[in-house]
Amino acid sequence: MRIYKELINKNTITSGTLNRVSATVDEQNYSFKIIFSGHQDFLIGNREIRLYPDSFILLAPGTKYLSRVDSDEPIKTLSISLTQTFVSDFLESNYMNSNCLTAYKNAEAQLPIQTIYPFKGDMWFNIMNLQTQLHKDQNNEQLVNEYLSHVLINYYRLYHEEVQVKFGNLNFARNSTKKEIFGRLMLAKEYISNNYNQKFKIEDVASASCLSATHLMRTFKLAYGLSAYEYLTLVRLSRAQALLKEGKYSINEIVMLVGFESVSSFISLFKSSFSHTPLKYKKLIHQKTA
Amino acid sequence: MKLALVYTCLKVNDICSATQFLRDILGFEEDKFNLDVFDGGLVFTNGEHHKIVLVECAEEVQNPTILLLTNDCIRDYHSLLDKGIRFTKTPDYTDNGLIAEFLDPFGNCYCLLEERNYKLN
Repeated sequence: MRIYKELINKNTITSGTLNRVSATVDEQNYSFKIIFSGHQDFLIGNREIRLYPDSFILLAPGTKYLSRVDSDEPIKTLSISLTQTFVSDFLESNYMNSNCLTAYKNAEAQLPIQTIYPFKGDMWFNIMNLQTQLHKDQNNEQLVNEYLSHVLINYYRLYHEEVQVKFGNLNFARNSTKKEIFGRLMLAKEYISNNYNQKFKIEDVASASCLSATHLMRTFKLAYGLSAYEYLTLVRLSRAQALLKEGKYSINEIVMLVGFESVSSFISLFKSSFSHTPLKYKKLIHQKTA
Repeated sequence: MKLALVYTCLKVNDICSATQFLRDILGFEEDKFNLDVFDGGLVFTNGEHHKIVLVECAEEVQNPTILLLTNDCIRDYHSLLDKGIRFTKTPDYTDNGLIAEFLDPFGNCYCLLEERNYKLN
């Protein structure tokens, strides 16, 4: 079922399915892109970001991009578009006094916002509640705007954790160098996220991010507190978690789909990350949603 | 031994207004079942296991905070705002989930909690 909602303040929400589609978009607003199955590609200039259900992308106003879905199987998508006025009003509002935004407000550097963020925690809960309200077809604009303000609270907290803090971890004397290196590390992260189920070498990641392999390894660890390989393992576990939620695949199939070589190492890594074995996690999730 | 906590006792000095608040604002229904333990007490339920017992008393009493669980804090916060409820704390994030606080007309504090299991999601 396709749902399109345009509010009086011009914020829009579109929920529906896509398959075999390619479209060029000139973004006018702040646009959150979320999918609930499969993957969707976003080509922004030379940069390619592949979106999976465990992540979301925020596209900034003025971005020109190509959006592409290759699969025949329809993928469920959600797009939330917020006007620049809504976002600037939010930044001036009492919402900014929320206990989780203090750290964001205190950070100095304004950095690029356009990248992939984990679709987890409060962002996930609020979006799922918003989806439920949209499907009830109740025309309560104030309530929808309340959810949208909370989506922004969740986003700015993630931005602080994923961008501002990591940027602050880099110890270059010149701010311009720091920004340049951080931009390249974001490309490295995106390369790993896009190719998580393929076999690749650190040199491939280095080449995609225009850094030498040694420089990449050193600065990646410095910024993110973990090696590129450890980050790849986290991405694979997170994708496995999303596939378990989907409930369509067996554990053995998931191990193959996300690029792990052995079921036993997958089970032990999953348990140490999420406190439950994959099978128990699958049961818990489906008990919750039943 | 496995004990269960079923009733929260709320002492009020105007049982009629308190009944109206629980019924019309919070959506509880009066349970016809009477409890001898609380003489003259009214039992309210919203279909869940836990119940509220209103007990009238002569003087103003400060009750402990009443915790109400919800599956969508933002929706219920908005719905209560529409009904004229004054919130002392707008929905904000804690390690247990999303939480908001409001007062009833008699000054009792209610906490609206949407529990969130961050380990699963």
